[in-house]
Amino acid sequence: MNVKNDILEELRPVSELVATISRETPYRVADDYFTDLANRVLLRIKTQHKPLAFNVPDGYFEGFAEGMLARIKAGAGLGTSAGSGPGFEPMKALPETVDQELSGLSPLLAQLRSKETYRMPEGYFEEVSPILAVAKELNPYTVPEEYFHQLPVGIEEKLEQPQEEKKPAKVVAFGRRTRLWQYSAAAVVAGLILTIGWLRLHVPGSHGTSPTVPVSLAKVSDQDLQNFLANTHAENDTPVDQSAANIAALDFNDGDIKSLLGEIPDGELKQYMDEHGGAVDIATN
Amino acid sequence: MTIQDTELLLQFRNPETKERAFTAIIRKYQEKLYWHIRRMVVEHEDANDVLQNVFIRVWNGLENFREDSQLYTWLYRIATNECLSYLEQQKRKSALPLDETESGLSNKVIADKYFDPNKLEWKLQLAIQQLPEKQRIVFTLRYYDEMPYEEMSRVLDTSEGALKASYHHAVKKIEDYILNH
Repeated sequence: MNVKNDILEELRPVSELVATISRETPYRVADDYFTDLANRVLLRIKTQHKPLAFNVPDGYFEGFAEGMLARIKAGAGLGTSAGSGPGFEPMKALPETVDQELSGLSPLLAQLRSKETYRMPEGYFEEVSPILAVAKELNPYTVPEEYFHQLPVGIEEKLEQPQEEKKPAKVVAFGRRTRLWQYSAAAVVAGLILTIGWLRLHVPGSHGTSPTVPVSLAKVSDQDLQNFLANTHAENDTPVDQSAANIAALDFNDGDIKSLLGEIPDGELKQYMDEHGGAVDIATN
Repeated sequence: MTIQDTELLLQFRNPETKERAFTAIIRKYQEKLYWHIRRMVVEHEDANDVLQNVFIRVWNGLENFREDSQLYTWLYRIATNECLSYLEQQKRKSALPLDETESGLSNKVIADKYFDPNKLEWKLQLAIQQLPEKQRIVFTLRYYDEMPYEEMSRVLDTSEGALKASYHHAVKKIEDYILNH
């Protein structure tokens, strides 16, 4: 690595000490490390772009689907090479029955399978229940005639038919139940609002809400009103109510008014009459 | 861009001469990039991994290289980013705080087969590992690679003024470290 003076000159004013240190990197590397580096990198790049480790024969997937369908249509075509295509090899045939399979695996077990270990006494069902003995032989379920004979043919026909478009399943919305709850909640809230509003607006005795009160009061006798106010006075102990009751309880007659006004000089009464004319029939001293 | 680099890029874009051009690029820049990386990650095995990753990135991206900067600037930028990614991975793997990761790098320096605590150049390496990441990069690019600030600002996406300040701080910190250790 070449040491250039300009870097050291730049460094010297900042740190004399650092400028004096050898710029040789103390780390070392193997002598032949760089010799083969390019080849190693290229090898790694090629390895990364290498195709997959598992291969399939050329043209394996060509005709694969058709071959599979042909095999299915052939019914129990296992072990037969109904398919086509270069890589289409027949599948290994499965044993047709359990007995055959077991025979291949263990002939001894296959022999034992046919022998029933457990036995029941002869005529057991007849003794326990004659009905059960008869019912054992009866099968209440029936199938249409020739059903099993025609079953493989029907399946093959269905396989050959083009697949009909399936109707989408009916979607039942969960929201229906939710909507009922929503309506119920809304009704409760609306009811509360109306009730509270009515209670607040319809204060007993307020204007416009009880227009018949003055009419009804006119029919009530003074004595009844006096009794009512006296009772109300007894029940209410607030100062405002008490004074109102006292005023209401005063029983004025003409004699009382004369005695009350008797102490007032005539001049003042006249002046009052001049200012508040209309009360023509007020008695004077 | 030097004529040689332009020629190499042209050859790289030709499928027939692509590998030959790439080999030439590696041979031209391998040592500079290796030492830049080695000073950042300290250990040779790590530097080797990072360097190979850098060249694989170069292989994948060189065809799209726009040539509005020098090839060497572009290579340094890839190498620096790869170093930072590698160090970040190391931090996450070790789940250590930042300062402990830096002391981990110092431990790697000490663990070097040729480490000699009495030699000033080894003290300098220890001092460099104490620096914050950015200052470490700026110092090594300037001090060892003699990279002009203009080029460095393209590599690190930082203004020249900030780079000069970083370098100044780094030198002062290194001096303090050497004097106190």
